[in-house]
Amino acid sequence: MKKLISTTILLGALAFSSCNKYLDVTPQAQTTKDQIFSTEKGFRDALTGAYIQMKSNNTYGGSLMWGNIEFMARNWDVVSANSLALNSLVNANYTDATVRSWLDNTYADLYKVVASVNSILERIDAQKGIFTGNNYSLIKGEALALRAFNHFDVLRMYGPMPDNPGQGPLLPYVTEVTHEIITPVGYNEFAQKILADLDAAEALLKDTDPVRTYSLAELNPPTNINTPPVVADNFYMYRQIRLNYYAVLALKARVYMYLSTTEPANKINAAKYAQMVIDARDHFGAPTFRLGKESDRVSGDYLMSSEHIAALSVYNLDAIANGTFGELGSLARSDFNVQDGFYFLNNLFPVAERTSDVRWKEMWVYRANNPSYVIYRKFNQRASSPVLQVPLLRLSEMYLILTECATGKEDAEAAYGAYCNEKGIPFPTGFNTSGWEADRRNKIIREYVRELYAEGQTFFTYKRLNVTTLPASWTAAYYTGTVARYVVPKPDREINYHNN
Amino acid sequence: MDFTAYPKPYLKAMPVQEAAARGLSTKSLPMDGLKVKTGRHSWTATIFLAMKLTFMLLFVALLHVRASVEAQTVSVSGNNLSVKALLQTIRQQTGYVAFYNQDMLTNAKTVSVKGNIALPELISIMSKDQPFYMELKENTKTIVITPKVVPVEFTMEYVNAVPAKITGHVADSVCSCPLPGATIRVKGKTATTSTDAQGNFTIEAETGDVLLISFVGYRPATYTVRRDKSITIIMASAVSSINNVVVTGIFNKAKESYTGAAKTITAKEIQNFQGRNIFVTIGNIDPSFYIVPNNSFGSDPNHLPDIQMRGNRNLPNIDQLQDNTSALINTPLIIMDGFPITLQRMMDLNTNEIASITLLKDGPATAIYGSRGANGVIVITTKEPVPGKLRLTYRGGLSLSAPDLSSYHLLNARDKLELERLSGFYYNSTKSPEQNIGLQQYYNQIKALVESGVNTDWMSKPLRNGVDQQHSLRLEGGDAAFRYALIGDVHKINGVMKGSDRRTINGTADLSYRLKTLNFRNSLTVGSVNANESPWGAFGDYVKLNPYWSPYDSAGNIVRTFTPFNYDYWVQKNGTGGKPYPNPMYDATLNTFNRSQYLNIINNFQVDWSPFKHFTVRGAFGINATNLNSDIFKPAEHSTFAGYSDADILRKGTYDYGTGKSFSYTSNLNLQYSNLFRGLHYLSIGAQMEAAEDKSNNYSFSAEGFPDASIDFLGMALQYQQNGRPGGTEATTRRVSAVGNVSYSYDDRYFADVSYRLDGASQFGTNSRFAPFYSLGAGWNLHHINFIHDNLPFVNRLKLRGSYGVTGNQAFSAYQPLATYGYIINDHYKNWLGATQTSLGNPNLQWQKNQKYNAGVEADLFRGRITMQADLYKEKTSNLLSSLELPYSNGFTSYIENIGQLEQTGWQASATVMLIQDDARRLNWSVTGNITHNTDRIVQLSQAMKAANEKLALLTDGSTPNKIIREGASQNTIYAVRSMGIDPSTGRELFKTRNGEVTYSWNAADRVAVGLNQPTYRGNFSTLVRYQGLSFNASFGYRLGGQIYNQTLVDRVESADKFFNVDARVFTDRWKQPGDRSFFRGINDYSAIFPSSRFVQNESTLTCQNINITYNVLNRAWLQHAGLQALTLSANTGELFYLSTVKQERGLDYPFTRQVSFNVFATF
Repeated sequence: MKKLISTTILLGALAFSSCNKYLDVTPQAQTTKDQIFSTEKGFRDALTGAYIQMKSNNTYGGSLMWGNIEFMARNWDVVSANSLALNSLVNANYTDATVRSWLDNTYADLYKVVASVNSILERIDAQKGIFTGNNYSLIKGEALALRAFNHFDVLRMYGPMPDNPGQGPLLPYVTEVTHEIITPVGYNEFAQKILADLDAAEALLKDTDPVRTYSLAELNPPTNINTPPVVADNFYMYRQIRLNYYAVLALKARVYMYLSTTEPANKINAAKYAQMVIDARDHFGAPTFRLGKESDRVSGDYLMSSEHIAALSVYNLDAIANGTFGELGSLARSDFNVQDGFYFLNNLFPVAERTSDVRWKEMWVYRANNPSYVIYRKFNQRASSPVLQVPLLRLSEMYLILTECATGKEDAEAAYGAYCNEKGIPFPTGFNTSGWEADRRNKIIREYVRELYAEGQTFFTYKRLNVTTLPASWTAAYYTGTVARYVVPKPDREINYHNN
Repeated sequence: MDFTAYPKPYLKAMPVQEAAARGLSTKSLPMDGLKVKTGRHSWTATIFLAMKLTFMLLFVALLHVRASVEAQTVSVSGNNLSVKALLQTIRQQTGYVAFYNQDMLTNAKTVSVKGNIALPELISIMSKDQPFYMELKENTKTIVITPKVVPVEFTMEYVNAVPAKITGHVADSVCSCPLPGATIRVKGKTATTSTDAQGNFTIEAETGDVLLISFVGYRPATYTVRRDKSITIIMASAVSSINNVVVTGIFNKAKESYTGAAKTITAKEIQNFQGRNIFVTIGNIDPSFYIVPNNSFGSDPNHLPDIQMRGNRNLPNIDQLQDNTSALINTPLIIMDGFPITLQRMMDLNTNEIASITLLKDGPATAIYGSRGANGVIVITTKEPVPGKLRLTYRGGLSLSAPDLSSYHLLNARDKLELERLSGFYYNSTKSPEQNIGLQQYYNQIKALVESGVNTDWMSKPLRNGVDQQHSLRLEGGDAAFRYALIGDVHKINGVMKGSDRRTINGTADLSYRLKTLNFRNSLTVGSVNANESPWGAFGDYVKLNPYWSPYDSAGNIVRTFTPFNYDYWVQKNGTGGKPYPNPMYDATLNTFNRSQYLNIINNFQVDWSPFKHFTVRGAFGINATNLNSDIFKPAEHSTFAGYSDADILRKGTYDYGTGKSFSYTSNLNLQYSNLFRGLHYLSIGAQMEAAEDKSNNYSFSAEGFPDASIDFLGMALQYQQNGRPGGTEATTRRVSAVGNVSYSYDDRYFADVSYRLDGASQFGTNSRFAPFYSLGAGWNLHHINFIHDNLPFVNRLKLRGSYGVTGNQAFSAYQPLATYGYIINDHYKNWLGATQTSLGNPNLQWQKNQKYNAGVEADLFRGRITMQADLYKEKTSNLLSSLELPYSNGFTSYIENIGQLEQTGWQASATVMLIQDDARRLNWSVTGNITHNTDRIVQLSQAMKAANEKLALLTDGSTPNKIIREGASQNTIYAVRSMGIDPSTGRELFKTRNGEVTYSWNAADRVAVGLNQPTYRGNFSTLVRYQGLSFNASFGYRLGGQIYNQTLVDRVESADKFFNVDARVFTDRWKQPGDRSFFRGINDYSAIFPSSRFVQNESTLTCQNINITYNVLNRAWLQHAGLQALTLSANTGELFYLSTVKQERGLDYPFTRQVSFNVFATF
């Protein structure tokens, strides 16, 4: 009897001690968070997953790249008269239910990427031991950069006018994956958190990022060469399509530029980081990035890939370009053939200035079946070695930031002149002598539009500079910039949960 | 033959020299009496098995004789004949078998008789002045010999003897189930004890002592102790239909002191209330077992019904609101012989092998199943092998089923054509004169057909009268140590839709072996099921065909499309593209199939060990494996591919293949102890530990390109489905649990019961892996109270009980609490693949918690003439799983949280009255009725659910009211806009808005609760008449109150598609001209119909569930002549009629049936 009882107790204890392990069942068709973050490969795949999420139609694979955000800036006209919601969008009628759902989806998808990288950041420090080489620094650095990048666009889109942000709580800066409600923070705190993440990313990537050493050509080798790649690990390559060290710097420049609206002192930092990107050199001593120019255009590299500091890899970009921007696509500009062939575009690209402008030449053509619309060809791909990536940060923007941040006329003209030289813009006499700053502002606005057309920057530029009317009639419709247009409403759901 | 069929007014305790082989209802192994002691006279004895289902063993000389003399009289002459010899003669001539003990005849006096003597007379002569009684039992054809009580004085010889210990076993006379908790006293002494969980007892008694055995619900028994050896006492129940042990599947409880609400259904009842399948049968007996009516599937033999016990305890999740998939999560837990089985498996069981079914309903009954018990538990026990000579039992059944089309009222060809004409289909002012002439010609063509007598009865085309067969063979035998049973069963159901059938083959090998205090048992069951869906498709496709169409051309071949045809006519019907209408019969002639099959293997192994008295250890291990696959083939000629372009010619013909398997194991260790202290305190303690795993996966894929109907082999497909990819699901769940139970009863008067269970399951979040469940119950046997006992002698039994219990429900998907990651399969980034988090997970996720309150009363009055039982219950289900909405900034839009609360209240009552109980003439007539009432209320919902529902409440799609779930209302509330009826001047419907204004326009926001789609009262009543070997049982089901949304009025009358055949009311009852006062709107009103209270009707129904006539052949001589031991014949009708206050078409995709079946049951 005693034996029996003791055996039973022993067996029972044994059984229940291993119970928890027994009850941990993992699915076959999926993997669990614990499992994926138990290997270095898992961290890499999760990071790649975040980049794939960035390609969402609601964000940088559509709405925030060439879609809604460009309609909001009136860079496109509504092709189909039946698109009632699209008409509401271009008229900044954000109360339209469909428009609201688009805007909400963009907001949601930006935060989805944030959640994805937060999962990585939540686990990476505890698992530091499993990483080899520079993987820890690269993955953590990029994850931080992605978090900052997405948050920054949340701020630019749903945040207040940067010249008058106010003090109240605005938006949540999310750093954890939880089902707790995250309290929103004020404008300054939000901005500081972006910069803090970028500082951390900069520190992690500074000495580890292969882009600090190798040239873009080395990191983006053509597929048909026999020489082995410069880095053995494929994951260290193609730095241009990841948020690399220079992307962090460039983003800092962009963020400081945006913040300079309230605090002009930030221009110093903006200029500093823009200059750092411009000054980047590979191990041959050559500039890492260079401005796109006529020869690039001639070779068919309309996207000017040499100046992409960061881009998103979109393997089906050719199909998108042909579909979305093509004959039957929804993204087109209204125009008609008078004088020199274009009426509205003539204002954006004045006839006298555009003869050698690489952003103009062969970029715009009339639709064959509907000649009241023009097709934009920037995303069209050449047959051999196509550039299947959409830019997130360009070197051009760094030159524009330098120009805008320059305190003296000469410095501004030097920066802008260097830029114009490459782009084929005549800039023989510098800025107007009287009121050169106003002239600079007008030119800068125009360059943001022309250079970054269909890249989602126009609207934010207008918002940053609080553009109320366009310098000249660039669009088929009259454009009024108002606070109501620039401050996109947050989703109702957020307002409900945050009680503000 | 079954003893439960006949109430035995008194069957005395029957001493048997050797321990009888007994079975436990749970298939646990009997532990007592394992020591086979050889008695003094046992060498003279041979075991002889008297009857099926009576496990009484006795010693008689084995004789093989031919019965030739007319029964009931005995021809015998002689002086000083020994009783033993006379008994042999009686047996030879009448077939009556005597039950007795050799000892009893040792001192028997000899008897002298002469000539033909009636058997009862002979018996009385034989027993005169003998030291024993003799009793003739006609219904069982036995003679029971019991000793006259020996006066106590005899025992005084052994004054100084050390009190000897006597061990024994008490069992039920019907099922041989052990009776735990029976009280044993020694007459004239203080010694008293009670039986343990296995029905065993030990008591100090000496030879000559008289044991008094009592157990409420049973006739008291006495037994005179002869030797200090193991004895078995068989007790007969006081009321035949009461099964006195509650089989909970874990611990067996004496019904006398059971605090829970449970319903035990015996094999006999299953026979008497036989329905189309086992679920219908149970529903016919207990209304709390509810088969959710499904008007679409009718009597489809391959459709698995939705089952609820005491209502619906779950809420659908947001994604389930639109479809009604939620019903499945209400399925009760099904335990067969201690191990869980699926609902599907239960449907395919060999019902002949079921010994009993217990429905566990309230807290104490279900709390021992912890996280699985919330929906109620069905405990099935199967029959155990009976020892004895090799015995063969055959049961055969033949069922005829005919479709019940009484709810269909379609137009004939002439009226249909007239309806089309009235609808203006043959003239259209917008069409050209040529076109109108064409239409007129087309009309004339059809008119000519109608005149020539074409009036096709389309409903009959896909239907047939189904003939089902069931054959079941059972071979069993063995001795006290080793027993076996081999069972084979073939069941072929042919549905009333042509080509729809289900074939089940079950085989079972049941072995048990005992070795001293150990008892082993292994049961292996293999079941194979083949199911075919009808190639004819949905029944509704035929109902709507126009009666003036003919399925055949003039040569008698089946046409592919119907003629005549007119383009301008058919182009009026949207969606046909002006094409001739295809004949659905054509597809049925092709080689097309939709079949599925599965093979299920269940093996249960069990070891019992009783190291000392009152204590049993049982270990069990069960595995359950299923392999299934499904094949759906459509050849290239099938009408599905009619629209394919020429380029897609090689894509015609499809094959969908699915395969899956599941494997589960359960192992448990069970400890039980029970004892009676001081003759008053009965204590029973049980504990069980269990570990189980369920694993399942399935895959499916589709292929296309089968150029010819003759090639129906998957491997010959030309390619995989275009853009298709394989599908599949996978789930593994594990569970560990420990359960303890303590029952105490004081002098059979007061009793209490406490259970505690700790469940751990892999579906629970990592932060709350273990869930506690418990129950408390108490009861009071009022009939033991002196006041009632003395003053109310007509009260034989009156029990009050109350209980509270907490159970759970873990019927949620396997990986819900986990934060899962999935690889992104349709995208890549350069040459890297990415993974992303697919669900936020919730490590705090808990089981659904179900609190059950129950109060019940049970009573037997007037010596069992009236039996009553009533239960009142309230259930609160909380922690319901529901999606909770998150702000977008969290990165996930929702997660699963324990939010949501439901409440059920209800009561049920049942009563049986014995109107005639004439034992002399063996005539009984009883009437049973029961009623149940259940209401439900949603107490709390998550924000996300509320939001989703309010969105649904503004949705205007379809004519069927969508399910809207609101706090404070029942889940079954019907929401529709209040209707004021049809305006006689316009034929349009008038609605009442939310604010009470009258309007023509329907607005989703005006929807209010207009009805409750659940019966207020539901129940059954039945009557049972028995006369001699004949018994007649008729049972009816009813539902009263509650509403139903009559979809027939919408689909088949109001928005009937008049290009096809419609309900006759379209022609006769719809508004035609101003001034018509009509229930239905204008005949040419084609506007969309939205939910209106006009279609909500009060429903009351009466169903004749079944009528059963059984005849037991009692003529033993004839039986013996035929080489049989027993023979029963029965006839049964199922769903003979259905009366309802609501006129709606029933069985839309598959008709309902009426059924007649014949069964024969023979033992060799």
